[in-house]
Amino acid sequence: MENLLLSFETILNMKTLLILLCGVTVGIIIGSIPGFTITMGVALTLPFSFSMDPVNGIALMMGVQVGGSSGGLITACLLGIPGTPSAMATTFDGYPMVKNGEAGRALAIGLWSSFVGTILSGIVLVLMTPLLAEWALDFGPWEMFALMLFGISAIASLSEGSLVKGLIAGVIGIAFSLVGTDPLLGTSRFTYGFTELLAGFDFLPVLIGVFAFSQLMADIKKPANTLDLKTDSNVSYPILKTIKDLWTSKLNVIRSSLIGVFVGILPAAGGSIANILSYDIAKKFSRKPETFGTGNKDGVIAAESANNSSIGGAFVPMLAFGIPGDAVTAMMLGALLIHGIQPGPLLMQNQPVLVYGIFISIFIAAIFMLIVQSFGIKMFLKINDIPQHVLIPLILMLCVLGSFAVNNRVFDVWVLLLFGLIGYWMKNSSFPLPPFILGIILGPMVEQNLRQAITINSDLTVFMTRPISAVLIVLAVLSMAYGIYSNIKGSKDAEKLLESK
Amino acid sequence: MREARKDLVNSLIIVAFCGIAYSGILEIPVRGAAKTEADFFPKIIVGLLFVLAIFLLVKSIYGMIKQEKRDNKKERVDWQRLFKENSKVIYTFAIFSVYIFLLQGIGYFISSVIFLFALYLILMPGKKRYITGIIGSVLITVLLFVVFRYGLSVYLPEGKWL
Repeated sequence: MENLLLSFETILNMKTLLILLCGVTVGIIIGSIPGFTITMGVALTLPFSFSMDPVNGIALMMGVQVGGSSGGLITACLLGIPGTPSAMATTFDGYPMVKNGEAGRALAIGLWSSFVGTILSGIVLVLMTPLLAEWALDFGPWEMFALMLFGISAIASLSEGSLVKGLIAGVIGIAFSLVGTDPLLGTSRFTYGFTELLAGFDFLPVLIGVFAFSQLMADIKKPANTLDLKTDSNVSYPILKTIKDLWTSKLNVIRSSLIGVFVGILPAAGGSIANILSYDIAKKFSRKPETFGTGNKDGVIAAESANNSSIGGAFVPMLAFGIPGDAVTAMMLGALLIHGIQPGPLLMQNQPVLVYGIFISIFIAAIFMLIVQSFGIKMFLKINDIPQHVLIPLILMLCVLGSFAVNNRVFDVWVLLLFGLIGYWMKNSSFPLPPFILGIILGPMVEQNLRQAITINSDLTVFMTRPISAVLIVLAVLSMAYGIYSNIKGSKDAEKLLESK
Repeated sequence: MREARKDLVNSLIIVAFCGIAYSGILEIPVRGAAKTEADFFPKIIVGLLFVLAIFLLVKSIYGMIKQEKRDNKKERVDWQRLFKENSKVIYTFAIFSVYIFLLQGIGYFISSVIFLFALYLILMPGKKRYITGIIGSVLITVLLFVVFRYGLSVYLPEGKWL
């Protein structure tokens, strides 16, 4: 209780609230620009969070994530183009609603669904995390190694594209994490004469390179369509009517939010999967499934409550085990490491004020999102008028200075370029990025736990005789089997499609 | 480039990466002081990556053979078209590399203005790009200098004059 009050004191001050508000506003802006992703937005806020204390830094990134998840619905509804990939299913009914003359209603329902989804996922986060973290306190190096193995294998098999490519991405990520000083013996590895590499690659330029720089290059190659938004269209809708709309679909709201939370907890499966999955399930449960796709409010409710509720879900494994649920939480994990905080089961015990602070900030971010998006919608629509060739140079410079600012050295800008190239190559070659970044972040922990386990007992069968470790290894194998199955099924479907053509 | 051919090139890149990493493993000093040495985990990871790369290589060759059988002709890579499609990205990477060199040598101000101006020329169509380029590059350089220097207390690289 004392920690909770302390967290309230830490969060409820003008500075932190302003930071959260800025984060939410930036998130909505980034989310509403097609071609820019939430991960890119969070990567760009990393350098700013670096100079803040951990609570404020995480609050800033939390704001961007919550704002970005709901910002995607603006263009999804008004243009039929999702502002972010996690608003894909929002277009299915949001856009037809706008075409039917219900622009204000579509946006209001989407916004309030996002709000309810975020709040519900926050409640699950608060209830689940302490329980899981306490359970994980008994974990030894065997269980920790098995847990991380499961995290990486699940993220590789659940990510889009082929399983082999997912695994390659994860293993390359681990390979890059090996650069620097060996965690147990202090021997330098793969430094190739660069003293700057003795501490390994810094997370910040790596994350900005992989997520922001590579995305900018993709935008340069294929710019998003110039938008012709009708900013004069009526985008306002009474709050009471919106609440009534949601109340008549309360089961859908709760079901979709819970789907979002569950999907968020799974490694790799973030807002984009939650968005599509809950839409599909809402359609199956609907009494009038044929109206989906023609402007049914339940389609927007399902899609928007799920993509926002996946945020809280993704935080559960990150705070309880130190394993991120998606790319954005992977970056937040990296940010905590930059601040010298080791995420994992002990985080709840060692930094309770920080953890409770994260819990509280998700709720406040949701409230800010509701207020900012309600009142600023016309301004956010205008931002889409700015051509990308004006935005790209500014963002590219932010990438450069953000990377430089970590250690005040130009070497980190070279690291940015290297990982920007790697990220761009991976994007172009359909290698998923989340396993790569998870590999880089978890690599040192995987190695440390494996070697500690072997040092204590060189018998490898211990991994299978300890129940939790054995279950996690079996789960890792099962997730790989699922990956192989879905790959085979996918290629068979593709062949059938080709033959039919 | 079709997916299978792309994967063939990718798998070869990864095999080459494994080769470089293996040469790095050979340089790790082994002290014989612990059950697991510093080269223990890198060997596992590079070995695993090599196996996965070979798997991708075999898969891509199989895919290419299947593709050729289906289309009944050999696929040719149109390098000119490929370069044209990616030209903006290639130029951006190139000027960015030059920018980092300049950043070290002549400092933040002049190098950033030159880089941003060049970037505007690449990205913007039409004659207006020269004026927009000059105004935009100076504006962004000054704005970010103020934010980072006075807002975040970051000392940006200084050159001889600025």
